[in-house]
Amino acid sequence: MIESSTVPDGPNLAVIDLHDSRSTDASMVGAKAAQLASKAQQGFAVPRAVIFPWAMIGHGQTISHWAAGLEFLAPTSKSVILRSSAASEDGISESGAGRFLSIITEPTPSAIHFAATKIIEHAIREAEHQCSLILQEVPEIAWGGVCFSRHPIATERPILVIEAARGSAEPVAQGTRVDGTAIIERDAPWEVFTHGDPQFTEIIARRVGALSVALELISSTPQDIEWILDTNNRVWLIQTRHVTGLQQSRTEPGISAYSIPLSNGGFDRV
Amino acid sequence: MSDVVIVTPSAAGLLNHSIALALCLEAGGLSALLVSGSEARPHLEHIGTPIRFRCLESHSLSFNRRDVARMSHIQQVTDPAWCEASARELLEVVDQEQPRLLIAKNSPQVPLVSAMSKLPWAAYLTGGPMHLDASRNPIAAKIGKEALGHIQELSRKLAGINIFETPDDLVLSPHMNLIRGTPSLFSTEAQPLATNSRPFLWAGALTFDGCSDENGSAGPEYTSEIFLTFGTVCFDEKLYRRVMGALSPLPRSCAITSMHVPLERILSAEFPDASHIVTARYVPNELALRHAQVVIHHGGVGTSLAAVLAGVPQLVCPLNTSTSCQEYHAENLAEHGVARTIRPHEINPDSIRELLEELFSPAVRESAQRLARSTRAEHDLHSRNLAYKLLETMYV
Repeated sequence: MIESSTVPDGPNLAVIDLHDSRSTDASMVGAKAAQLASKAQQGFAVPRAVIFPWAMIGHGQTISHWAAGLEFLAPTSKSVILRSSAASEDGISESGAGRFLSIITEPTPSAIHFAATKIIEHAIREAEHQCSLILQEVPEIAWGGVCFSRHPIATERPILVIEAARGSAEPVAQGTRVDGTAIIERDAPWEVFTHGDPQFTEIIARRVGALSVALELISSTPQDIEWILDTNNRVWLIQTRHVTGLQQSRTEPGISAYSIPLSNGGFDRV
Repeated sequence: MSDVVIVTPSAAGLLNHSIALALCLEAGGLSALLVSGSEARPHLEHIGTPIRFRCLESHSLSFNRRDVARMSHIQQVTDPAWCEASARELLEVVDQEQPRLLIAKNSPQVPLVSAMSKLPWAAYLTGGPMHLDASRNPIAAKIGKEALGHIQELSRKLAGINIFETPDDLVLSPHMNLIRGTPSLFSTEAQPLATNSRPFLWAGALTFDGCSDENGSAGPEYTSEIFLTFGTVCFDEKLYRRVMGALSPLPRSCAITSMHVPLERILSAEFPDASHIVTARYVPNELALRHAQVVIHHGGVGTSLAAVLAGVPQLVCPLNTSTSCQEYHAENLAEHGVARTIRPHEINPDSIRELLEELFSPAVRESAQRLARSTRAEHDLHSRNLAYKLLETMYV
C-alpha cells in the first residue's frame, strides 16, 4: 500500500491516496471517494487522486492543507478537479447526484482553497456536514460523457446507452449538450448504433461499453458511469454507481430521443 | 488504434479466455483488439461481446471444424504456408492498429510479427503453469524437429533471423507469460515456476462467455440439476450417445450441449422417454452454473475454472490427454475434493449413478463452495491491476 501524506499542523490527519487501504472506508472518506478508491484498487483506470477526509476538513482547513495534498498528488495535468464526497452521495439506493458540486480549477493551493470553500458551503446548505473532498488530475479530454450499462427505461431489451460531448463530460452531465450518442443492443451480437458527430465512433462506443460491462460484472448490477477518453486514447472511469431505479426519459431539443435520465452532479468551473 | 492486440485460436473455449483478458485490459483503460480465425465469428456474435474483434481467413484453423482436412492445432500453426500467410495478414493489422503489445496463445505467427515489427509479445497460457515446464509442455512436446526446421526457415525469411531455437520458443515468450488461473489450483506446480527463467504473471481465473441476461430467458437448459459440456471441439457422437444412455435412467434434470453433434436428433430417436434431458448448442457457463448442482465436462480450463468459481462439484472426463492439460485438471480438482474422474470408456449407467451420488453429497458441495471462496479471493488478487502490471513489466 502507498503511504499517505501527513498534513502539517493537522491532528494526526492525513491526505489519503486512492490506493491506501483506508480510502475504501466510506465512513472516513465519503461514499464517492470510497467507490472510486475501490475501483482504482480493482484495476480500473481512475485518474490519480488524493482524498481530504471530512474529519480533517472539519478541523479547519488552511491553504497549507491544500498545498500538502497538491504536493502529494503532484499533478502533471494543466487542471485538477475538486469533488465532494459526502456520506449520502452515490449510495446503493439513492445517487444523491446533482446536490453536490465539483469544480475544475488550476493546480495551485489558493485556487483549491477557493474551490474547497465553495464546495463545502454548498454541502452545508444541503445539510451535509461530513463532506470529504477528492482532488483529482484532469487528463486532456477528447470525449467525455455518461453511460448506462442497462438503459433504465427501455427494459424490454438489454440496451446499453452512451452520451458523449467533445472535450468534456460536463455538457452531458449538465444536460446542455450531447455531441454523440450510441445505442448498443446487448443481446448478441452487440450491435452498435452511433448518432451525431461522426468522430464519436463505434470504436469509442465499444470501449466505453466494455468498461461499463467490466464494472457490471464485478458488481453484479447495472452501472451508471461517467467516463472520459483522453487525447492519448485512454478511457478513464470518473464515477460509477448502480443504476438507481427507473426514471422518466427526457427529450430536449438537440438531444437524441434516446437521451437517458442524467443525474450527475453539475460541474462548475472557476 | 489499439494498445494491445490479442491473437487467439478460434475454438470457442479459447476465445472466451481471450475476451476475459481483453475486458480486464479495457477496464484498465487500454484498448484491446481480438484477432482470430474467420470461424470465430459465429461464437463471438452468439455470446455477444463488447470487445472489438477481427476474424481473419488466414487465421482459420481446421481443428475446430468437422471436415476432411481436420488437423491438430499445433500441426496447422507450424505449417510454414499457414504461418506465413497468417503472419503477413497479422502484420497488416499491426500496421493499422499500431499496438504497443501483442499477446498470443500458441500462435507462432505472433513472435514472428513481433520480430518483424519490433513489438514485444506476451504469451497467454490458459491451460495451466505446466506450459512453462519444458518437460511437460504438451504443445511444445508435439513440435517435431522437421516442423521446427520449417518454422526456423520461415523466421529467417520473414524476420531476417531465426527466433525459434527450441520448440518452447514458439509458444513461450522471453518477455512475459500470462498464466490463467490461480496458484492454489496448481499448487504442486506453482513452486517450480519461481525459478523458471521465463517471467510469468498470474492472470486470475478470467472467464467470459456472455452476460447472463442477454442469452435468453431461464429455459430448462439453464435450470437443470446436471450440466454437461464436452467443450467446443468435441465431435464424438458415440461419446454423447453413451453419456445420454447413462443419464437417461437417472431422476435428475440434465442439460447437454454440443456445438457439433446433433443432440436433439439422437435424443428423440434413441431416448424418446428421457424428457428430463434437454439439449442445446451452447449454454453460457455462468448461466448454467447458477442452477446446476453438478457439472460433467472434459476438463477444459474454461469450464473447470467456471465451475470452481461457481462452487459446483464436477465429474471430469478428460478427452484429450496428449495435447491438453485436461487430465491434469481432473487430478488437481479431485485432490481439492471437488471432483471425481471418469474415462470415456468407463461411462455407463452404474458408474455415472455412483459418481453422481458422491458429487451430490453435502460434503462435496461444501468443499466446492469453500474452494470457490478462496479462488475468488485469489482471482481478485491476480486479475487486479493486470493491465498496469503487464505494461509495467513490459516497459519499465
